[in-house]
Amino acid sequence: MELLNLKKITKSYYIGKPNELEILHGIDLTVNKGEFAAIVGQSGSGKSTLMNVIGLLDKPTSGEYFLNGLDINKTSDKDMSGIRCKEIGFVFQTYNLIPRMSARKNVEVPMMYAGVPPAERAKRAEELLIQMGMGDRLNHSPDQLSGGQKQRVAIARAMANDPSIILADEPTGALDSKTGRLVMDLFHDLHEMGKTIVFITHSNELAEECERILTLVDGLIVGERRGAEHDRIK
Amino acid sequence: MTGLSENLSVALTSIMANKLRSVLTMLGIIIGISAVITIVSIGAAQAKQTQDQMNNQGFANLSIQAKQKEGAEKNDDNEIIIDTELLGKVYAKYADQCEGISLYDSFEYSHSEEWKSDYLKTKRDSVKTCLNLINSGYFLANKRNLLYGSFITPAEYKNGSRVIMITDKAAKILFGAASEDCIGQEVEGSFGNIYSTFTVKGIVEPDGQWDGGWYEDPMTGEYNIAPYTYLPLKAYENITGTVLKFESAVIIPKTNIGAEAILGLVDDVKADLNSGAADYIEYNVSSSIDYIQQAAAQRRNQFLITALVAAIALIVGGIGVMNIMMVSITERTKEIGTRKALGATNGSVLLQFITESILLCLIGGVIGIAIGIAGGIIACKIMKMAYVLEPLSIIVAVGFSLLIGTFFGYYPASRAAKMDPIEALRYE
Repeated sequence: MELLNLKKITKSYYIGKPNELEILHGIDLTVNKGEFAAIVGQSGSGKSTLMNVIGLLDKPTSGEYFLNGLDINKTSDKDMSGIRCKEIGFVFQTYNLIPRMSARKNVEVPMMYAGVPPAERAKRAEELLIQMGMGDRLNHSPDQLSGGQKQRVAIARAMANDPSIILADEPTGALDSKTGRLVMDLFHDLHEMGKTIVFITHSNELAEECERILTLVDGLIVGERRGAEHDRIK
Repeated sequence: MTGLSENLSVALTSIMANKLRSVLTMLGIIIGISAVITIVSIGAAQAKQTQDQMNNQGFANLSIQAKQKEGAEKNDDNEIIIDTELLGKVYAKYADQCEGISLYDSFEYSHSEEWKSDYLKTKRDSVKTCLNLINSGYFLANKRNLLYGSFITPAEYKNGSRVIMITDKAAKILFGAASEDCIGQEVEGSFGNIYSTFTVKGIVEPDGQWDGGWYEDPMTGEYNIAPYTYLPLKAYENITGTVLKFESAVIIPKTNIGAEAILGLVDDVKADLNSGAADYIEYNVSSSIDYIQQAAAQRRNQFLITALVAAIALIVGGIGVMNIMMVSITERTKEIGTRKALGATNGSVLLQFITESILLCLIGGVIGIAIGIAGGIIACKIMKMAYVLEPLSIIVAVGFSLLIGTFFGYYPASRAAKMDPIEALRYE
């Protein structure tokens, strides 16, 4: 079942007349439900821009984008907020937890914006954090957590509204190899649970763990292959 | 959209997260509001004091003076005195607004220098005194503290009973001490051309230490004060067989009728007296209300100016709030980007930050009100006035806090709401 369908997506920025900088030159991309897909590219390949488009943070300059059957070009900005809230779970390289707020409150944030009542939110936040192995640090604030712990809280937060897609941008980029391993294993667990994951990275090594690898060079997808390590890790 | 209680708890968390900054932000509001509340309570206390003064110290009393009419012909037989019959008729017309009449300056008596040899005497001692001939209106127009015994009764005034009120100073000299034991005691009194025995009816506190008849001691050249003795007019008339004449009178209006009514009364009484007066007499009627009103108007102006300054302080406080919110929002750019990525709409972000601004100002306002009330109590204590709590001022203060929070928080909040999430997430 098609979850993500991008057709001939281009994205340009105006950086002062008459220059127009085109970052994405026509992306065709389909992701099916339950897939663990990696988008690999070097810096400047346009992978952040692509992620912003997929994540509904930015509207494409041209092309079509269907998310779960919904035509994004015909969606208002306000509705995009709602879809982002409920359908997409972000995991960032720099975690982006809200400072001075406890782990459980951080996980509750997407649920609050989705209109989930407080008691239910609190319960689910606790459950998710326990699943991520953070059960003993529910009330810690981000500055009391290590990088790996923060990322685990961020993943719990991404899972809060049970989204269709987890969108992870270099999630292990700021972590040491041991912690990075932990986080990758978590992603594999989520994949096992049936979650669809789009994983953006510049590391070929990590990309090999994924089911599908799409290579992005200079704003175009140049190749697709199956991850060599994926079956082994499973 | 997030609900109100959500926003409040998020706002409260943000405020508590950076307590020092929050307090510094609130400082302007706290100072402005406490200043407003203190000033308003001082103004209210002053207004009450004015009202009390009017009631207690006879500032509202109408002074009636008989004068020679300008240009009128007068022969020596005509005396410039108050026509008591005319006065009585005019008084009756306005009696429902008044409490009584007091008659002053007994024509014959005060014009004689002989009072300076007046005295009261008991077996123990004698004391120089200045006699005040009074009627039932006297102690209404001139409030005195009754220390022992009781005031002269209407019947005693009417009959001219030989009862007197003396001061505690006189009682001490005559009886050794001022006490209930002095009441009912007999005292010899020598007043000008009359000499008789009188009964002490009551002892009053003089109106300040300078209250009494001043005279120059012929031996030392020093000025001394002879304490007053109060005797019913009629008693004097009975003893001397004469009828007293008066140069001035006081009408005491009721305490509850208000300044406007009193001023109206002054005009009416003056008109009525002058229409029934003899050709060569003009009556002057006045009231100290004018003076009180002037003083009150002056105070009101001062009060308005100070209130204006306080209002400016509040505006400055509001600008401070706006400033700090701008800084706060810039600092939390990444957080705003994150929230938007997680599903916050522009409206949600706007509401979040306006709620924070309003809550800051409300908390500041409440603290300001508390300090303002304390300040008002202290100020009133220093100025020896009774403290008056104005509930309206508190409501207005809360309203202003809300207004400032909304108005000065709006611009920063809308900036936050319009932030591009991608840019915001990239912010370091």
